[in-house]
Amino acid sequence: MLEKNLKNLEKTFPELYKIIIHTELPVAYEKTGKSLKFKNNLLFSKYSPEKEADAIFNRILSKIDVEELLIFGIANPFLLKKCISKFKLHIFIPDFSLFKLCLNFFDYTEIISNSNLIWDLENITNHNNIEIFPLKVEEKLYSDILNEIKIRLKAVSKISQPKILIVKPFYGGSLPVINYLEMNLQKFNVKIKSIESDKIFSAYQLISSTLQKKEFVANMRVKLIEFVSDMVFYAIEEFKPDIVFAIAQSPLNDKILKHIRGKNITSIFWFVEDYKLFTYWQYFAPFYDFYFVIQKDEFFHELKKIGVRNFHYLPLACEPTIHKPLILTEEEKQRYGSLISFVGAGYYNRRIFFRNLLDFDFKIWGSDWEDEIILKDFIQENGRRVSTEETVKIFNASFININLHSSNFYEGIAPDGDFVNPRTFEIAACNTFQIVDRRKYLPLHFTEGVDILTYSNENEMKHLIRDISSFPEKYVEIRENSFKRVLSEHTYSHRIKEIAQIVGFEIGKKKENFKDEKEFYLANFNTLEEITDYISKKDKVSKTETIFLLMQELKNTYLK
Amino acid sequence: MKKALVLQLSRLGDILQSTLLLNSLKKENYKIFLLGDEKNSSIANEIPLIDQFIPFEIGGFLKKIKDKNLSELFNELLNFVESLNRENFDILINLNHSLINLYLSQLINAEIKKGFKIENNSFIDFIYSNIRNGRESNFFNLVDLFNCFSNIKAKSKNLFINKSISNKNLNFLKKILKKENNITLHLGAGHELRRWSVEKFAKLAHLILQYFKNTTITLTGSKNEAKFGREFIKFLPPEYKSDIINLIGKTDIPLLKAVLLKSSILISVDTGIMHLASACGINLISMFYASAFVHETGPYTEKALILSPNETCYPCTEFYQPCNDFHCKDNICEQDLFECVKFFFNNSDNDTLKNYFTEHKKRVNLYKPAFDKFGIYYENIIGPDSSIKKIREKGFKLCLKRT
Repeated sequence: MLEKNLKNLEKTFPELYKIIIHTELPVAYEKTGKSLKFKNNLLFSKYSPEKEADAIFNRILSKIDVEELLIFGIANPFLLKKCISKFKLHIFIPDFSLFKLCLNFFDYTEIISNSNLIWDLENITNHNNIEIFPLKVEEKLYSDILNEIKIRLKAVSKISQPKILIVKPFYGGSLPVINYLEMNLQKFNVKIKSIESDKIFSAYQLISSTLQKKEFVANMRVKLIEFVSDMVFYAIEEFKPDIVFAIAQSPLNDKILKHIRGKNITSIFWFVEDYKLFTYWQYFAPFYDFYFVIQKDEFFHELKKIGVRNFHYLPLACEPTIHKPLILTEEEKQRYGSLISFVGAGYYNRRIFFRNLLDFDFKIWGSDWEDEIILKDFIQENGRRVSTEETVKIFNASFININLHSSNFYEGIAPDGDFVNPRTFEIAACNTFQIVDRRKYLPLHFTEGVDILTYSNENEMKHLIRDISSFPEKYVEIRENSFKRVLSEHTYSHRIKEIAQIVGFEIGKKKENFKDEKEFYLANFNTLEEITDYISKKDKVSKTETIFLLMQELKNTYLK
Repeated sequence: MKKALVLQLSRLGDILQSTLLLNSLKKENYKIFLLGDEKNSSIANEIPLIDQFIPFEIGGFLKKIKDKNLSELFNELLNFVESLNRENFDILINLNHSLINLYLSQLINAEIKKGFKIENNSFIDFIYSNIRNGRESNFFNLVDLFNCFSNIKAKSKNLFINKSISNKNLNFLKKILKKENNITLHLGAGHELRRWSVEKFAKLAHLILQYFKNTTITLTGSKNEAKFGREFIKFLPPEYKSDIINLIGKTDIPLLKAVLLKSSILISVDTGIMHLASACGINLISMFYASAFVHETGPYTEKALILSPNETCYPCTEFYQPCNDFHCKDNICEQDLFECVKFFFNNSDNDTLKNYFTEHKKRVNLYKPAFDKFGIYYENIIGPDSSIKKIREKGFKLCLKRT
C-alpha cells in the first residue's frame, strides 16, 4: 500500500514525497481491528470506521456552510474521502511519521488526487471564507500547531479596502524601502497616510550634534520617538486606519504599540535588518500582529522563543520605476563608469576584501570610507553619500557591479551570511552585470549560473571579473535572466501582494485588470467624491473619468 | 447638410439670446441641434431654427445620484453621449461657462469645437473675468458675444421666435383683451431681492390707466408669483380693477408668447420674458439694476428703453454685492416708467424724455439701444459715452482677429 500511495504522492506533491520517503515510520503504533493506535490513541473506529465517518461528516455538514474546508490531520482516510465529495478540501499534515504510517495501511489515492495537502504553516494564508475541522487524534496531539493555524486563519479574514497608516523612519536604508512600498500601495489604490518622520531628521541630527553625553543623547532621542508616537496617536484618531505599517527604525514606542493593539488595529512591521546586529526586535516584535523578516531559521526560533507567532520571511526587492536600465550621457558614462564598481558603505570586510581589486579599473562609491588608506585612490568624490538616482546611474555605467554583503566581523565574505541585500535585486533590475557573494538565501530567489553569478572567495571573484570582461557574450543570457527574474518575482509590488495575502487585506486591482475603467473606479472607491478626488489629481483624464467628473458636477450644481 | 450642436443649458432667456447665433448657423446651412435643460423644451419648440432639441434630463440624473445608483447613472450618461456622437457633428458650440458644459463639450465629438472653456481664447477670458470681477468695462451684449465666440458673423439684428398664435390662444385673447392697447407688466424677477416693488407696479398701472383710457393691463408671472398679483390688485383703486387681466401662473409658453404679441409694451426687470418680448418684436421698458447690467444682457431690440440706477456701485456682481438688499432698485420710480410709456404711445417726444431724465440724472439713467457694425449697444439718452464705442470696437476687433 505504501508504494502505491508514495507513487501517487510523488506525482501530485513531489516536495512532500521527498519529505515522506526520508521520514521514519513511528515505533509507537499498533494495528487494532480496522484501525490503528498511535501513541495510545485510536485513530478511528476499529469496528466500523465508515459508519463513524458518516456520522462525523453529517455533523460537519450541519455545522459548516462554506465551500472550502481545512481538515487538521490526515489520520482518518474514511472521513477525508467523504469530505472530498462535498468540499474543496485542504488537509494540514501536522506529523509526517503519522502520515507515513497511514500511507502504509490505507489507500490515499483519492485523497491525494483530490485535495490540497499542506504541511508548512507558511502556506496557511489567503484562505478567506474557510472553516477548519480538526481530527480528534491530531487535535489532541498537536494542539499548539492547531492553535497557530486558527490564529492565522483568523488573521487572514480579509480587510477590504484598508486604510493604512505608514510610519517612516528618520533616515537610513529602511527609508527608501518604505517609500517604495508606499508608492506601490498607492498604485494599488490603497488609502494611505504617512507619518513622514524623515522630515524631522534634522531634529534627530541636532541632538547628536549638540549633546556629548550618550545618556543625554539617548534621552532626547526617546523624546523624539515619543513625539512621532504621539503624532501616530492623533493620526489614528483622524485617519482611523485599519493597519499601521512600520519598518525597521520606525520611531514607535511601546505605549503607542499597546494603543494600536487596544484599538484593534492590525500592526505590521518589516524588520529589514540583520537580527544579530540590531537586537531591539527582542523587545518590540511581540507588540506587532505581523512581523516580516529577511532571515529565517535561527531567527524564527528566536522569535518563537519570545512568543512572536505571526512572523514571515519577506526578502527585499527592487523598484523597477527607479532601478532600471538607463541611457546615459557621455558625461555620465565618464563620471560614473568603470570596469568594476562598488556602491555602499565602507564596512570592515569590504575594506579588506576589496584590496584584491587593486589591479582593476575599480571605483568605490558611497560613504563611511574614512581613514581608508589602501583603497583611497579608488574611493570616488571623497566618499560622499550618493543618492538613489546616482546609484542607479553607477549601476548602469559600470561594466561589472560587485556586490559584497557587509560584515563587521569577517575579513571578506561572511561564511554564515544568509539574507540577500536590496542591492542584489536593484542591480539585476538595471540589466547590468553583477557578481555577488554567495548567501544562504540567495538560491531561494535566483538560480546560480542561470540568473545570478556568485563568488565565495577572492579568486572566484577575480576569475569572474576577468572572464566577464573578456567574454561578456558568455554572460549576457545570465544577465538577461536575472533582469527578467527580478521583474517577475522581486519587485516591491510583489512584496506588497505577499504582505496583503499574509495579513489578509485586499489591495485594489490595478486598472488594467478590470474589464473597463468604470468598473475599476466603482470597485475601488466608496463614493463619487472619492472617485473624482482621485481623478482631479491627474494631468489627463479619459472619457470614463470625464463622465465621473460630469456626475460630480451635476451633484455639486443641483444638489447643494 | 452640416450638423451643429449648440450647448445651452441655461434658462429660457439664454436660449432666446442664442437665437441670433442659431439664425447665423442656419444661414450657413447647418442642421441645428440644441442641447438644453429638459425644462426648456417648450421654449425650444417655439424656435423654428432648432431642428432638434436634445433634452438634458437633469432630474433623472439627480435621482440616480440621490439613490447612489452610480453605475446606472454612468451608463445613462455614457449612452447619452454615445447617441450624440453617432450624429457626427461638424461643429459644437458651448454657450455656458459651467463645468457641466465643459465636460459635455469634451465628451461629445465634433470636427470643430468653439465657445466657453473649450479653446484658449483671451477675449473670452477677458469677458468672463470682467463679468466675475467688475462689470463696468464690458460693453458687449451676450447675444453678440455668442456669435463672436463661435466665429460666426451675425446675419440679423433680432432674436427669433415663431410669431404665429394658435387659434385656441387667439380666441382666448380676443375674449379678454377688449381694449385698443394692452400693456403687460411682469412683476417677478429671477431673485426675490431683485424684484421691483409690487406697490410701485400698481402705482404705475394707476398712472397708465388714468392717462390712457382705452388700455388694459395684463399681469404675467409664474405660479410661484401668484401672490404678487393678489397684492397688486389690493394696491390699485377699485375702479381700475376691471382693467387688469391677471394671468400670473396661468400661462404656458405659447400663451405667454401670444399675450406678448398682443401687447404694445412689456414692462419688466431683466428676465427671460423680456427676451421673449424682444423676440416678439414689441416695445420694452426694462429695469436693470443690482447685478443686471444693461450692456451685457440688455434687450436685443431697438424698440426698448432701459432704466438703470445712477450709483457708483452699479453694476455689482452675482458674487459680490456691497449691500444686501439691492436698494438701487429704489432709484427707479413709477413716474420714470410712465414717462417711457408716454414716449412709446407718442404722447411725448425725444426731447421731453431727455429733459425728464436729465432732471433726474442723479438718480437714474435711461438707455436706448442702437446697432453698430458689431451688434447692439446702449446709449445713455442724456449723452452717449464715446468711450463705450471705442472699447466695443477694440474688443470685437480682438475677437474677430481670430477668424
